[in-house]
Amino acid sequence: MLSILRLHLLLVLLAGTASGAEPTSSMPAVTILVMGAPEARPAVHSLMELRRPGFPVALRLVALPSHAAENGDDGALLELERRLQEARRHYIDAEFSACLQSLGDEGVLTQTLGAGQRQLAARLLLWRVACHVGMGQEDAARRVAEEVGVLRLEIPADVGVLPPEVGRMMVRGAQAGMARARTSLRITSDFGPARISLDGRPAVCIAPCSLEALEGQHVLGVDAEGRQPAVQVIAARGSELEVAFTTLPATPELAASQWTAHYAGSSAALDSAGSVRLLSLALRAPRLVLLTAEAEQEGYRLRGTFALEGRVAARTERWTQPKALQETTEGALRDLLIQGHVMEPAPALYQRRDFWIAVGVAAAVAGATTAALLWKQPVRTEVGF
Amino acid sequence: MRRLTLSAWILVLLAGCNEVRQVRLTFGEEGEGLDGFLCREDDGDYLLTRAVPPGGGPVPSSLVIDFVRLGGLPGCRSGQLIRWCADHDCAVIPEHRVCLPAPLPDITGLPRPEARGRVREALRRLSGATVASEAPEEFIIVRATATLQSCDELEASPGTIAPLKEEELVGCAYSCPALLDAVEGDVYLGFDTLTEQCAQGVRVCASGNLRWRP
Repeated sequence: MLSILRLHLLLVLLAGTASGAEPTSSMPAVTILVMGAPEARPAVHSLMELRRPGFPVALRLVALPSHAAENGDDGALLELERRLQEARRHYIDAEFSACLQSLGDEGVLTQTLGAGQRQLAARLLLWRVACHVGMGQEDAARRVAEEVGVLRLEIPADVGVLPPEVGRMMVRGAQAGMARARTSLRITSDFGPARISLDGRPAVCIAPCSLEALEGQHVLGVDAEGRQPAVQVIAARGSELEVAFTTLPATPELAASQWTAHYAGSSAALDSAGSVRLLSLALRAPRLVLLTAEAEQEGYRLRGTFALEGRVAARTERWTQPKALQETTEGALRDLLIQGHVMEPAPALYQRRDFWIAVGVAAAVAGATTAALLWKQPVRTEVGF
Repeated sequence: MRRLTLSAWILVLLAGCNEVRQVRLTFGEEGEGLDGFLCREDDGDYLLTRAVPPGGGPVPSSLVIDFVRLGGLPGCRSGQLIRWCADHDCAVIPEHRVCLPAPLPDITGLPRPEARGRVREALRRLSGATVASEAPEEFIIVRATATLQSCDELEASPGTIAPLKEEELVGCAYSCPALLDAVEGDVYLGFDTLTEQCAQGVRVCASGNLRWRP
């Protein structure tokens, strides 16, 4: 029931419009993202409209990032499939040079492996072998076939429609490739945790880490939340090779798609450090408050997280009855902003100027009253006959 | 701010204003407090008689008004006062002594009621005279002593209490112990005696510290 409610709320929020950049104001701007029970959002909205004194922040209520995970590789993969079909047609027509040309250069293989499409990469190499064999270039065919072994690709089913000599070349080449010496790759990244992929196999380790690879060319990829993915082609040779990745910050759109891919489906991790960091980036919110309201025991469980520059700076949690939702929301928000040093806590009573003025006035009134009650007019007595 | 200033002025004015009360000294409506002025010597003459000028006429006397500090509140009767002052520092307050010229009549040979009337008539001339503009704020008795000494003589040494010469005394009266600031009505001056032979009482009355003398 709760998950349905959440899903419904997410859809509603996704349909809502997120305003643009934070408002220009002398007060610090705080972005608020409300999730969970729908009643919580109007409570925050009312709070924004009240403009309470002693709440010196400019609040901006936003909706969830709506940027779905882009599948930008689809076009490239279709293009590769087109190339394969074209190469096949040239092969059938015995146009082996054109066949080879259709399959493109090494960049195509790198791109395919970087996108994690190992099966396509294997087909690409198979047809290259076939083209080379057709051209009578056995050495070149063998070198390409060895790449299949070096990259630990499976020989694709397309081998069944090719002449047996192509199949033999593939098998021998792959075996030779797999027999090569191993190189230890020591991989580091400037941003962690970063998932490392090797030749299209995802998340083989989390940098910093070490991998064993056969000597030859490999495609290493890095993928970290809040960073742009990067691909590096390396030539493994010798016993050890250092590989260092330098990544770029993700664009808000990329961060939104990463958040959608990694966190949108799991309510438990919504306020995790990674989720909040991506949300801060996706919503362009240096100061972000994530409020989650869950219906619980005829009331609401409010969870708040405050992130400053993407880092979680404060958390709070409280339960409230429905009628006190707005007050509790305000309290939670105030608590978060004070913990996050955006707002100063209210000074103690004895530190308030008004308090001492009131005390002074009360003391003066009490003193005057006492004096008036106790004061006796001086008496002078004249004595005479 | 303006209101505050006004309040401060009111307070200052209130503090500066004194309530002025008037206390009148009296010897009684019929002069019943004048027994101390009608005392006779052992030879039967009034004390006043010894000071009558050779050619007759009023006795040139002065009325000395003293405020005698008691240091407490004793009873009113003469015995109580004397006993009190035996243990306490009863003394005339120097700065409050007042001397008024008060010629008294020649009452030689007059019966007592008539003599009383004549003395009363003479002292009535003091009506309206002020003896203190600010009464002491403590328990005192007011004493009025008639003496033949002149006021000039008695006031010759300002700030000191000139002793009243016993041989010059012609009368005396005193009040009950009182706090004059709290007195409602007149202060009655009188003299406790059951006999006309009360010259010794006048001397005790006029003494500086109200000491009993047998």
